Amino acid sequence: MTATTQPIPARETRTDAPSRLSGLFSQEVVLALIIVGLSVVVGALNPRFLEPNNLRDILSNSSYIAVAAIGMTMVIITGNIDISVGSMIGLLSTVAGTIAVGAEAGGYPLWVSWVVPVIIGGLIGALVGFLVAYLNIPAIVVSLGMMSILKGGLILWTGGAWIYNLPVDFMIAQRSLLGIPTPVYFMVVLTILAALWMRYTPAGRAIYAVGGNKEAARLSGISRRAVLMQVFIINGVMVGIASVLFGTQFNAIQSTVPPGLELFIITASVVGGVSILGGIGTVVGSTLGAILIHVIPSAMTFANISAYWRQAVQGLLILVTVLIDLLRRRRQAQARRI
Amino acid sequence: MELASEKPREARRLVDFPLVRGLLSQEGVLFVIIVLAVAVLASQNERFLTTRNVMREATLAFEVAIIAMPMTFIIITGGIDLSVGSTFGLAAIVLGFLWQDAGWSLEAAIGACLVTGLLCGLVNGLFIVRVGVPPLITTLATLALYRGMALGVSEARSARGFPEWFLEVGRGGPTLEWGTASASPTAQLLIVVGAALLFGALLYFLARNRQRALGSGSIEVLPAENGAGTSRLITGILAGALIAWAAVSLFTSETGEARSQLVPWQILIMIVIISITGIALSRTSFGRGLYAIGNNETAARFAGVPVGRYKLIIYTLSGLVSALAAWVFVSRVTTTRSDMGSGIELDAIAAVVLGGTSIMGGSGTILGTVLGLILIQVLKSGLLLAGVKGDATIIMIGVVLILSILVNNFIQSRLRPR
Repeated sequence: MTATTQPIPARETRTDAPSRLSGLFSQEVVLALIIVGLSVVVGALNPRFLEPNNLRDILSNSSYIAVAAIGMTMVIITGNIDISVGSMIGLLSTVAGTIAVGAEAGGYPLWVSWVVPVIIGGLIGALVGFLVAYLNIPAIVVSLGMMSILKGGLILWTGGAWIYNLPVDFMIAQRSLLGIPTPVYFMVVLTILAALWMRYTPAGRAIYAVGGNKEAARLSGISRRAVLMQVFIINGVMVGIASVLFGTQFNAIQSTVPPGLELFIITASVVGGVSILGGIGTVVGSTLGAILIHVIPSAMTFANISAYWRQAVQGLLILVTVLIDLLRRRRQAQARRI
Repeated sequence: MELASEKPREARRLVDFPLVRGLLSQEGVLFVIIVLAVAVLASQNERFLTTRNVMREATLAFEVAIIAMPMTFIIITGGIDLSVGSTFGLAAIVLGFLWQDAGWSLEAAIGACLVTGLLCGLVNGLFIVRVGVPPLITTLATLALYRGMALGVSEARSARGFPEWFLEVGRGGPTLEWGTASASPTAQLLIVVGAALLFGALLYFLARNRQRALGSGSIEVLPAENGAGTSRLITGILAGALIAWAAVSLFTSETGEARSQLVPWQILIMIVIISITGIALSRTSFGRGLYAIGNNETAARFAGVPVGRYKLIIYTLSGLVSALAAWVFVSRVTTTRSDMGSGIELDAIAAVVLGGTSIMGGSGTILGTVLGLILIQVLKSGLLLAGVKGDATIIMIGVVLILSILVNNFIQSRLRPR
């Protein structure tokens, strides 16, 4: 109980001698160890788990979650949350599909169907950011309302009809380059760019400042409103990209909101070590988190565990990783006090 | 605020009158919107304001309504419970599984269903209070965990074929046979409106006298106390309307012939739970403690509020009520499925927030949540009767949710004392 009332210092492990060792076991390292360990154990039980095909599937399937989780991580670091992302992915992938189907008849190039959802995502993000930053409505309320609006709008628009006969060239998520599926490139490149941006640029550091200590951020001349706008727009763009990856993975688009998708994305961030209280977390962690929540079900399938228990294990996993993170931070805080 | 201070001092602004001030509270605004919406919908469709339709809508709102009560407690303390829908599903599955597959008696299975909900809530509470995991994360994890357990236990099988007595809770209720006096619809309406206003005024003046006895309304009090008079007024109007409406629909009919009217158990259970939680929140030290926790947890702890125990109680209560809702729901739909109740957490949270409870904690009332629930159900029902597709009505709810907070923020910033 006492630890929660103590302000938890952000990652400053480099200069801190006592915590250098625990810095080695950051949440990212823990996650990577769990992923590797799990793969080794399941691979020993059933060698087919480690076949390139399966690994490719796991990485490819976790890509769109990981990309969306990059935006979510930034939003949560500022101390906010966005639960409308699942509905956004449902809507924007349908937008992408609709534009793609009309491309030939409309006489415009196919890439329009990839770009428009990303732009719309950015606009929705800007609207949410405006409501949160300038009109001071809590993000959870704005995104709850936005979720209803987008979900209802999608049903009203499509009536739940599936989109078939999508052009073959539309399916970027099904393509591969050098034997690696394209979504994986998106995941890796966007994660690295976001990580570098957040770590080394003033604008990136400002995100942590706003989430970590509002007053200190204000005194150092950071505009909280501008940072929030920026973060929500980036989140919208990331969700737009994720929607294209999501919508192009199968030959049909269901035109519905995948149930629980927003919680899946938040879970990836949280498992990746992002503190829901703001100020702490990295996108490398959230990407590893997204991969981990896809490794588990696959591992369970190969270890012959009933698929029905999949979600229960996932729930347990969140609790365990969050507990590890919490205990580690508590020990760090103690080490610092001594 | 700045604008107001530039003006020369006035003797008394319009908003300084307690009645005006109260009407501009979230509850007041909601109440006015509801009255307008009901009036419009009733004039558009004669089936809207019938006893049968009102009872049906109340029955449909039952699950979300009772889950929203402990949710109000939790959000007032600055927490949140995302796992209620999954608890709902797990409790329903436990009921069906133990009865159909494990061979338990149905009574024991119902007991186990409620105990399951209690334990789910207790586990949430223990993680939040003892381990110190933030409520959002704890309940996000248990949302997946409990739903996963429901899936794992049920393996996508469903239980059906419940005996007749079990279906009574969800479909039956006491049947009342009265209604010999004759009254025209206009007379009925007048009686209801008159009684509502009378009752409201009575409670309002009682509250004001009490406040005067305490020594003017200017004492610094907890946020809940602000505009206590109005919330009393609205409670009075609502209660008066309910009682008068019940009496009118029971004792009178247009023809003067006796009729029988089934009152669903859901409505009775709902009234009991709303009354108990409402009184607990506004009249007990437990309720005061919840506001104190939401305003400043550390200060509450130093002031001797048993923070840990209170939190444990509200999360456990939330689990228990979710299981109760599951039991009644299973009885109504006569089957169990592992995906039952998914998304119900967001409906409940929407009602609570719409009712003016701050998501940051520290303020909110049960009355507000009830008004939020009524508005959502009125909109759903009204739009459905107007021919709008069912799923599209949720757009309206989203818009109303954001707008109501916007309007309230705007009004409150104007109302702040100079």
